[in-house]
Amino acid sequence: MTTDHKTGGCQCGALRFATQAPLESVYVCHCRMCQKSVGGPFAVFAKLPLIRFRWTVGRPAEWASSSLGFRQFCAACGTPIGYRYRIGEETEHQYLTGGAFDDFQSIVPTVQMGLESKCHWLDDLPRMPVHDLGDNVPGTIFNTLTSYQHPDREVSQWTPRPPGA
Amino acid sequence: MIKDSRNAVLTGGCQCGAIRYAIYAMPTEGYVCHCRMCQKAVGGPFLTVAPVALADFAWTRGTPKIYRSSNIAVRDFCGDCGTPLSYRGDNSGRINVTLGSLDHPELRPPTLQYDLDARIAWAGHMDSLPGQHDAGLTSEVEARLVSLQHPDRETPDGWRPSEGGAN
Repeated sequence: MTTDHKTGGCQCGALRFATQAPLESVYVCHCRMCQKSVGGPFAVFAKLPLIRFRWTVGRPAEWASSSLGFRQFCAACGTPIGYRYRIGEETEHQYLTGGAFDDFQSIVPTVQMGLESKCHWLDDLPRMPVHDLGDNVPGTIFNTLTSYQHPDREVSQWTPRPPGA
Repeated sequence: MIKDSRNAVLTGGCQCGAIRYAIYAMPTEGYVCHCRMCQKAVGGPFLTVAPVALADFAWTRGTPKIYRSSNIAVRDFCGDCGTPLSYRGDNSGRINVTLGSLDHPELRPPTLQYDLDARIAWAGHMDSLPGQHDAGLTSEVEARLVSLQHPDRETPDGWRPSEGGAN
């Protein structure tokens, strides 16, 4: 294992992956399809050749968002985790969402695509007022918080919490 | 599904169109959350949502899947395409709807942000990232692109992408 080996997965831990360095590129995409697939203003993807990638736990659910490719997500928790092309040379690549990496701070985009669809409020984000989490969740509740999210590292044994309220 | 007689002020849904929802009172705020749980739930640097009172919200098509991410909250998503749809605190009386799943996200931009300590460094200066006005597809690939995404408007129940494309 090299020091550039990276791991990641979905929120519940039913999906885990491993990559071997280097990632080929990391980018932000503002297109409306990427926005909708993550429920936010843009998607951030890391791209690498399939030969340097493997799913180590589980396999993602897939949905064909267009004639070109599939959105990959966890069927148990919904985390948008990847994208793969169904046609052309790009079928030899795996795309992974930046937030799914355990070492997510190291997944830094160098370019952004689809600026024609960019949400204008993103320009205001650096100056947007900041509130404490406690303003949103009462302290009496927040203090009892137990996360069921998979930790940001490999663990030897893990039972994902099943879907359901 | 029983249709609501009220007029929706905002509508939205998942990428594939299996889940649709309506909001009957304009949310007074939208917010960004940088916490690690919200990051992971959307596979990105932060969550963007608008809080809506449960009384002013209805699922109008389909039923989302629910993932309990902690002992105090659940997250709704589409079981068919994975789109993150909400964050719901237990007993909070409200649902926080993801802004990207709105048909017109520009109508409810966020106005405040939470947990700046957890912010991913590059999310603080995105304006310095070089950019381009397309998705970076080759013209050959672009010519073969047919979106299968639900359009950003209401459609009749039973809507499916047409042979020639989604819209």
